[in-house]
Amino acid sequence: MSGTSINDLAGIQPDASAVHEPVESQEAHAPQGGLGLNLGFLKATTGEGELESYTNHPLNFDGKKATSRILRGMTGLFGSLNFAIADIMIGFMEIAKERKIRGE
Amino acid sequence: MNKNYQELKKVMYEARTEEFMKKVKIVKEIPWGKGHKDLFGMTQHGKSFATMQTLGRATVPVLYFNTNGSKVTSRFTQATGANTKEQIEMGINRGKKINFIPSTKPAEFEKQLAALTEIVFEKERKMFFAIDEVHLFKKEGLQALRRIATAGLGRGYEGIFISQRPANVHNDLISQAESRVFFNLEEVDRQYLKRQGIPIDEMMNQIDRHHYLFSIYENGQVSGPYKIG
Repeated sequence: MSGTSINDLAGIQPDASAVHEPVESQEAHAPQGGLGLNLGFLKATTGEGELESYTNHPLNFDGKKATSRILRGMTGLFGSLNFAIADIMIGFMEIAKERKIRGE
Repeated sequence: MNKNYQELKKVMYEARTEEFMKKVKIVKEIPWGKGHKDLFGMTQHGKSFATMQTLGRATVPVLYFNTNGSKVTSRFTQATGANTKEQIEMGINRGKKINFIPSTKPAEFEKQLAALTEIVFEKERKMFFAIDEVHLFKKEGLQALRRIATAGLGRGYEGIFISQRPANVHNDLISQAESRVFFNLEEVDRQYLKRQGIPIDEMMNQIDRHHYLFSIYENGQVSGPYKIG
């Protein structure tokens, strides 16, 4: 689409390397050859902060230390808990707990 | 003896925390009213999470000036300085939630905010204009922020001014806000807000230094503590 860019309106010529990498455009690429299975994620560092800082996290549905540990690990793995996969995994944990309470 | 004492301390802490958490109101989004809003809190205390959850549920267009390049939810459409004025306007007119990723250089992101403000001010429309790390803006960017704070409401815009250092935020952005949301704050920022006549001690006591809890000061009333959940 033609038109004046925000940078032109601002009168700047930004260095492309200075712009943040677009988060939503990152896609996983399979390595060349082999089965294409990348287990590098297993070396991800855990999330920042003490376990206690995750006790009151909105996704800590039971306020337990174990759930805090899982949330911290997921933060390290995904970079953030604002992802659908985090919701899905926590949802399964909640279902498992409810079933246990009901004695199923 | 020492082990028993440590266990007793732990049980008492957990009981006190459990008792405290019963007072916390769980909400889906920040329950603020109309008008400009301030959102202040230390980093890693839940400010960004609450912002994303709330803006993601907004029923009006959102333009989020993502100064830090923070991660956002999938409800946001990404834009940068390479996008055109027409694209930004089209996104706003279509009710999109735009996550604008600015340059990392202060001189450039100041000018980008000023340019975006000019675009937004061309038309009257209801929308949220949220700017992160407002304490970093000093020149053209600060002028743009003050323009939003003092003239935005007349054009239909509600400004959301986000910062982890309220002591370094221009007074216009605090005095013009109808709603002020506070997460945990550093002592120096608390003292500054106290001098502005905000009952910050009462609000900090409400959240008791817990992560992800926040308190709201609106129309002279304090409410909370709240938690997004």
